Amino acid sequence: MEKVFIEPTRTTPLINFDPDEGLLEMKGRSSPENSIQFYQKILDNLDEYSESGGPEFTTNIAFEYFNTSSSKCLFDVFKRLSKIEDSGRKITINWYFEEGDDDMMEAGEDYSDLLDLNFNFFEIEEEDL
Amino acid sequence: MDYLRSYKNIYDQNIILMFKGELTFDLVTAMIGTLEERLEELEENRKVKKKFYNVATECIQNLYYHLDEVNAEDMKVSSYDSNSALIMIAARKRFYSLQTGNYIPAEKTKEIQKRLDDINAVDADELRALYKRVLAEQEFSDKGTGGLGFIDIARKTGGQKLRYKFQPVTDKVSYFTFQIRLPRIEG
Repeated sequence: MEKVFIEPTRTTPLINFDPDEGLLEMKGRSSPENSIQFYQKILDNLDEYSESGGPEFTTNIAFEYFNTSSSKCLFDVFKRLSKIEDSGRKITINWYFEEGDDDMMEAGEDYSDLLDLNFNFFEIEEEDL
Repeated sequence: MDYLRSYKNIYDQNIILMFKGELTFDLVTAMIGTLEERLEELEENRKVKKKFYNVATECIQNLYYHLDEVNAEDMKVSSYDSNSALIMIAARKRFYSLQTGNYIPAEKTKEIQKRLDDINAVDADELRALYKRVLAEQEFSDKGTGGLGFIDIARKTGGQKLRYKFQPVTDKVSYFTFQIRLPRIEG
């Protein structure tokens, strides 16, 4: 499995996938022209990880904004994480959101609820996001 | 020709961004960037600023994905005109407003109207439940959109009804005007 690192742009988030560390980080804004295409690589990597990855996997998510098309793609990302958990691995999902951003907090709660995944919520200051 | 007068009219209506024409993705991104800079100057409440940025992005992108659905020949105009969008964003004292206009195939009006009416008929909790249901169940369209746009906009504008109007242009084409409002003072 290969590492994936994508620099953030105005419309796409920072992506850091490190299979050796069992780590996925997503950070920033997500409103790409083609969300499905953008997230496909992450989904493929998670599929591979679910076949041959290590015993523990951590996901750190700190979005400032994502559009509804990305929202559906993120749902697919969490479905993969749920699958990894079902295969007996320990997964940790940390959901960071800016202080007072109830919309972003609710978005995390919605995923957690829909897929029966445990999220750790962290409300942080803007400059730390 | 009194263009200064036109400009003053626009200025007096507190319009902070106005656009008419075909959209490309880069143009959408640039427009949202411009809006963000304006909001940075105008809005002190960070929460309101962020919310309006969010709904405006969703709204303008949504428009971009659906502009090519009208057949220019049905309207006897150029495809540039049939694919043209109208966008007007205003910062009023008590609320922000974003209004869009675009041609749509007449056969689609019923479906869109039903979706908007259904969204306008429910309260915040039901809206959240609806969002979750569509998120989990609905497949992507061939345009990569997920049927969540209007629901998301309604959720984030907290209780403001989605305003819309359909006007027949020809047998096959209608004009769709859509307006959202976001209160500036946090309730």
